[in-house]
Amino acid sequence: MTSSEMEQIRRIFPDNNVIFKLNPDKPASNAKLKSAEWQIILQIDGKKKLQDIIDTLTLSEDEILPLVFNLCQKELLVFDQSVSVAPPQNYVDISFFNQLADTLVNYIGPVASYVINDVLLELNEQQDQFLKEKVPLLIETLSQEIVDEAKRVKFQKEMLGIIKNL
Amino acid sequence: MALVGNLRDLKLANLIQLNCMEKNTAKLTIEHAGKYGIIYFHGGQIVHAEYDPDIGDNAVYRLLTLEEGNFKVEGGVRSPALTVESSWSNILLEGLHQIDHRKSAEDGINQHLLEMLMNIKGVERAAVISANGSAITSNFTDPDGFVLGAWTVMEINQLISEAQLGTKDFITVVSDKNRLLLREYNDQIMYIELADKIQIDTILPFIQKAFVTV
Amino acid sequence: MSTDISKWLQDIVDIKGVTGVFVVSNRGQIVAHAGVKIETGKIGRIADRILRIEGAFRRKGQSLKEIDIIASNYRIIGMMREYFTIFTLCNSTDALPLIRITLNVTIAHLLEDKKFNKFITKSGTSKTQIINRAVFNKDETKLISKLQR
Repeated sequence: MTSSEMEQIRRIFPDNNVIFKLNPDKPASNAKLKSAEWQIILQIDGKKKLQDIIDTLTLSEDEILPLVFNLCQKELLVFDQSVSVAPPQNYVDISFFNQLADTLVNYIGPVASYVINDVLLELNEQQDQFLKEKVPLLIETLSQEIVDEAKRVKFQKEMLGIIKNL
Repeated sequence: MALVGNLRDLKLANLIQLNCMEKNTAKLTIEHAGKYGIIYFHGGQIVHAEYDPDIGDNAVYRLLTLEEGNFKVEGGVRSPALTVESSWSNILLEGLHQIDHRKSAEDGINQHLLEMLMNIKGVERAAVISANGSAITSNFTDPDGFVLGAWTVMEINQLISEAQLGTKDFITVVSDKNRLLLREYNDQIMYIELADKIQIDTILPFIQKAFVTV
Repeated sequence: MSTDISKWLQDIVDIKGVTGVFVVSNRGQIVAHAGVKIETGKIGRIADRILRIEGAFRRKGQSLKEIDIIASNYRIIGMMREYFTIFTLCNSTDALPLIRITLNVTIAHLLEDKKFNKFITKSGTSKTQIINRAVFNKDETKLISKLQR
């Protein structure tokens, strides 16, 4: 693959963290595809990132990217902006969770880290890819673990200050 | 002198039977929630009935579904029309049969909806209540809670009308006793108690889905 | 009203989706507000209905903390305290957790503000007075009487 081909591809999908969906208006069953293209189509489930597909298949990244590009050109794949993984600057820094645990421990004791992990699990989230916009939901959910109402509001007040600086 | 009363105390089926068996010529007027229905009797039969928008047999079937309403029977008033075709006994049989069928269909739907709601994580208890705070379908009793739920819905509806807001979907109420989600549904109210720590907006899409699915 | 209160309320209005916020006494009077201007009578009518609901709950020994009206294109969040209610009007709920956290913190500020508390308790009536003095229609009378038994 040449550098200009790569440039063209990256204009469509800037990195391998993108998630594709099959175009509902153009079923792949009607298309004439190469076997390698079919291998890619079979991996598309609306959840797997492009990198996951690259890791799964025996083809190299250099082989897969042009194939995916062609599938997009044929409109068999669509790039779902809303599900695509956000650029890194929209994630909280991992240090935020240390700050959160340090604050929460003053209200619920040493179980704070465990509770944070439990709540993340419940929300189906991970520390290393946690969107800033979801922080208030996390704080609100964690607040419910603080029984005393006055302390609960105090915790929210402290965290509100931190949220504003994210 | 007219006979007056409420259907709560004397059922329409009984009034029909009485006037027909005594071969009365009479006009029976029923008022319910500001709407009027009329049944005329003559020669031992029902001869005419009106209950907007129905006339004839269907008007009687619908009037038979009323569980309360003020009534007045005036003797000697002749009917202006002849619209009822079936005999009074057939009308009663058919009318009561329709009520049973409708009630069991409604009960079935309500029960199914309650089961779906109870399968949602965070829903503690659910009931179908009437606008006057009585339980229609429920596996638990909480008479005060049901009345408060009905009261809340009534007042919020007035609020929406007075403030000229758009139609609401849900009302949530958080008190020191419990957390409620209320939704009007088929002239009834769905009364849902939620668990303490559940985020209402997390659970709302699942509850909305239950209403759509049923 | 103090500039701090204006600032606290503005913090709420600055959140995406919030159009207005009103602090209303138990008499239904707007004591502070930020954001969209709504005719005083309209807010008064909203407050009156909410106070009727609160009064009914109080009759049964329960104290209301929050009532939300959820619609497809708006949301009204009413958070109640002893002498006032804070109404937040929203046209979107994308930032709802942030709205609620900020509301909780604002209420805490209000409860700590001596000037505000002096004013609100002086001009306030109890939660049950509205319902005790209210004139009800036929349906309301029938329903509310069930709570008196």
